[in-house]
Amino acid sequence: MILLLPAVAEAHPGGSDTGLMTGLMHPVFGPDHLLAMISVGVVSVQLGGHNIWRIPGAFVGAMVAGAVLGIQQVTLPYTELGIAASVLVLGMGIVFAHRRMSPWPITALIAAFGALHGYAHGVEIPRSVSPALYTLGFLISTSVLHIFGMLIGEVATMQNWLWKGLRFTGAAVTVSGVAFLLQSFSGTA
Amino acid sequence: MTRNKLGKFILSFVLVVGAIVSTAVDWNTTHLFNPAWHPHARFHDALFLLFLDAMSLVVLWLLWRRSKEPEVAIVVATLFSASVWTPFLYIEALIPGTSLLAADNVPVLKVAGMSLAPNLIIAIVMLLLTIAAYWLARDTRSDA
Repeated sequence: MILLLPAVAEAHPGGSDTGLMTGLMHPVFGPDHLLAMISVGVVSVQLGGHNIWRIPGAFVGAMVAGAVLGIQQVTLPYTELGIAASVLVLGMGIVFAHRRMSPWPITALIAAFGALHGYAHGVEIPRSVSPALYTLGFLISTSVLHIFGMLIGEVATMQNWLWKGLRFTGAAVTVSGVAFLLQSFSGTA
Repeated sequence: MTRNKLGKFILSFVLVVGAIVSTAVDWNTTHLFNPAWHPHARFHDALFLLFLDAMSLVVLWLLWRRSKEPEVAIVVATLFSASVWTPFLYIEALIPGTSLLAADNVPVLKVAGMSLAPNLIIAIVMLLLTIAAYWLARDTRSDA
């Protein structure tokens, strides 16, 4: 289904809405973006308290800064490696995160990942679309994915076996992150 | 953050994003300023957009104001959001001659023989978020 979504991104042909629809669908294209963004929501629930809005807020806020650099075509090296690493680290976050952890280093790290994801979206902006609407589109889409992650985290708190299952899912996300890293290494070699 | 507050934040997100996305995708030459559209059709599109934006603000106010019956605001916000997004599921069947797509050449997602227009996908996502937000917001006891 994800592979078919690029066609949907071209849904409203012509006009300024093309940028919004393209931006809305962009984070859903890549499994690395998708996994990272859902994981951010899950980890924010696992850390609890104000982290539920602070961590996704940091990610989305940093995405804007990264997107500006990307749209300006500023060269940032190793972004694909960083994005792959974000999946690995966030997967580990799902496995190990708990409420007594200090949230600030995690928030800073997740903000850095957000900047990398934002840069990747910004640098891939199609020439024919409005940068503002395109950015608005992928910010909304990212926020929706964070919320889906939060809902997954919330449902997992209802039963102990679901919580354990979530930790195993985190391990699977970590393995995916390793695969993305290997793919990035082979791409840069 | 309590589940109730998280649910209210998600409901607010659905209201704000719904108003912004609807306005942004229609406020251009594919819809509101489309010269091929009859002026009265454009009038009705503008009427819907301005009504949606204003009502979204009213429901946001209702959701976050101090009240002795906060659960009523949650139900109203949920029903309002559902009333905005559920018509996407049945308008084409209810009213012959209408279409989800702005043009005939719009690519659509095909799943198991069914065509899913992009606005239908957005409506389904919004409805899922609304249901989940209601589930969270009606819980006034436990921590999120």
